[in-house]
Amino acid sequence: MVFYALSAAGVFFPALRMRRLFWKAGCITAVAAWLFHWLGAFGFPLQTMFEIFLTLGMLLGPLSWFCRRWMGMTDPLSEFAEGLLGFCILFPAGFVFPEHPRPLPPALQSPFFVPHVGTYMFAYILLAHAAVQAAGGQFAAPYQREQRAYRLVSLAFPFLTLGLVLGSIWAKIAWGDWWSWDPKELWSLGCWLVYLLYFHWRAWMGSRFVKANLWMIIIGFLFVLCTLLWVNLSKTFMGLHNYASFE
Amino acid sequence: MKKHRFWRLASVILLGSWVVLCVFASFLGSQTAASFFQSGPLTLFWFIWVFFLLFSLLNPKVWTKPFLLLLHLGTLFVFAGGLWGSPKSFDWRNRFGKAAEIAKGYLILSEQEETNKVYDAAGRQIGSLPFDLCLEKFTITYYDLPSLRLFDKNTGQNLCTLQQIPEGPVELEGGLRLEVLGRYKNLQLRRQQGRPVPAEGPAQTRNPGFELKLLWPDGTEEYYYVWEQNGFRAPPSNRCIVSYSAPQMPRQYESRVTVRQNGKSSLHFIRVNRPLVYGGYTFIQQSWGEDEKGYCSILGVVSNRGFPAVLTGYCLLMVGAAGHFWLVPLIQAVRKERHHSD
Repeated sequence: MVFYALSAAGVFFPALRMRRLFWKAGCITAVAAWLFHWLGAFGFPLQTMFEIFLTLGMLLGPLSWFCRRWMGMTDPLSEFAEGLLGFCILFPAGFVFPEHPRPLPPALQSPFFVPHVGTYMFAYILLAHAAVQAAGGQFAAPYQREQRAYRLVSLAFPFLTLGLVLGSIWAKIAWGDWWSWDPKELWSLGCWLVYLLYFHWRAWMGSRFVKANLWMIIIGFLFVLCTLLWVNLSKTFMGLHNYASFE
Repeated sequence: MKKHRFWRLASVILLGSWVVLCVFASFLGSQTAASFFQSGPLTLFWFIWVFFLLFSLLNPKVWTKPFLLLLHLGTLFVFAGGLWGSPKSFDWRNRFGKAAEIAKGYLILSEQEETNKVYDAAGRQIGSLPFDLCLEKFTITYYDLPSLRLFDKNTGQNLCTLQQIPEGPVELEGGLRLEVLGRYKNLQLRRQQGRPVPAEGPAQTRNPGFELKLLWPDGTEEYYYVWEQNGFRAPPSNRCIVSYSAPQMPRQYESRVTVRQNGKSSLHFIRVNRPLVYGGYTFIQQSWGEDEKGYCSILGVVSNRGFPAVLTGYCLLMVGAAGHFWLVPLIQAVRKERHHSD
């Protein structure tokens, strides 16, 4: 977390020349922490909110590297975003959520558990990157940033679809219904639909309303945050997906 | 051109309204949300989607992009399968002369009991299966073990910790001998001639407990009554404190059932995440309870109608999404790269 914060700060303070080194140290530390937790956990660490955020922190490094290498995201905004995301993801894991591992309840003992949650984690990291590009595009280089955000959302969308499909098949096996209209299911479907709406809108309008395109990506990410945080932590939404709640 | 604009606009409006409906329904709770999405007006909304997707296939542009076609076809299959297997569709078919079919219900089975009667969530019988199910045994396994502990009342020293309730007498350290005289689902103590006598209370209340006898090396016999939830009871002269904690973390629930149809029978195991698929239905380990005979298992029964369509739809959707968003851009990028290098 500290390494990621320093790497983000390095964008503004050129004196901190080691920002790439800080970023690499952040990635290695997150992967090491995740592996260490996995060794003491009851299964693959994706059950509690602590484990979810730790896994997100672990995935951030490799996925950010992928974005740098294959999408040319080496500008200061992207580098700042990587550090900031690392800090924001690992902060709750370090200071908010309890870390003690819990044994898997019978409902989560399924071969679908890891692929279902894992694909969502991939999608969420990529969509977070897209949202940062979209937010940056509101201030400078909107066309370039929109193009980049579009490529990121395109990369994330099949993961999001796979997560939804695997969840639905798992629900059919475990609960008998493809779909239970549970708050978490509805928010994740809403999230998928917002990005689908973005694709339809973009296919129709192209770059004519580039700011509207960017706003849709930001709204999509707000849906991601609601699905991941609000639905799990708020008492407003009680449903079948309360395994990952605060306790 | 105008037609093209109409379809684009319609797709955006339909998707937008679906997003709004999702957000609205998330505040209703899953049961109310399910009724809401299965209500008349919303059924119309789903049919509009089906027709819209069907018409989208008439767009020649869709046919030039095979993965986009798969995406739309997949969604159509999911909608069609979902509607075909929905409770509303069962209602209509049952209403218009078809034989009564069960969309979803519950089987309540006591151990060694056979039934084919299916109930709804309110406990009303909604139909019968064309075969019988007999619950041979219901088992719960736990991550943690039970723990029976004895402490010295004066020194607080732990005299023994047993990780299972012994069937017969056990010799403990220091020459102590422990014997479980009785196990009760609802342990109640009644006074007879000034002495507490253990008895089984009414079956509808669960308050498990044990009667223990402790034999000291000096030949003194002490009797203890220990509950899972209510501590223990013993004469003041007894020298020990006893505690019992039941296992708390279930690992798995399992029903061993025999299916009997036309004189043939077959044995199956139903666990959480390991349902039984038989005779067009899926049987799910839903819940459990206890009655005077022992455990009873509550199995969810769901019709498999529409299953192949939905599964095909999901496969098409995934192939379409991966092809359209990953494969096609990758091929385009490679071609562009080659073009530049040429």
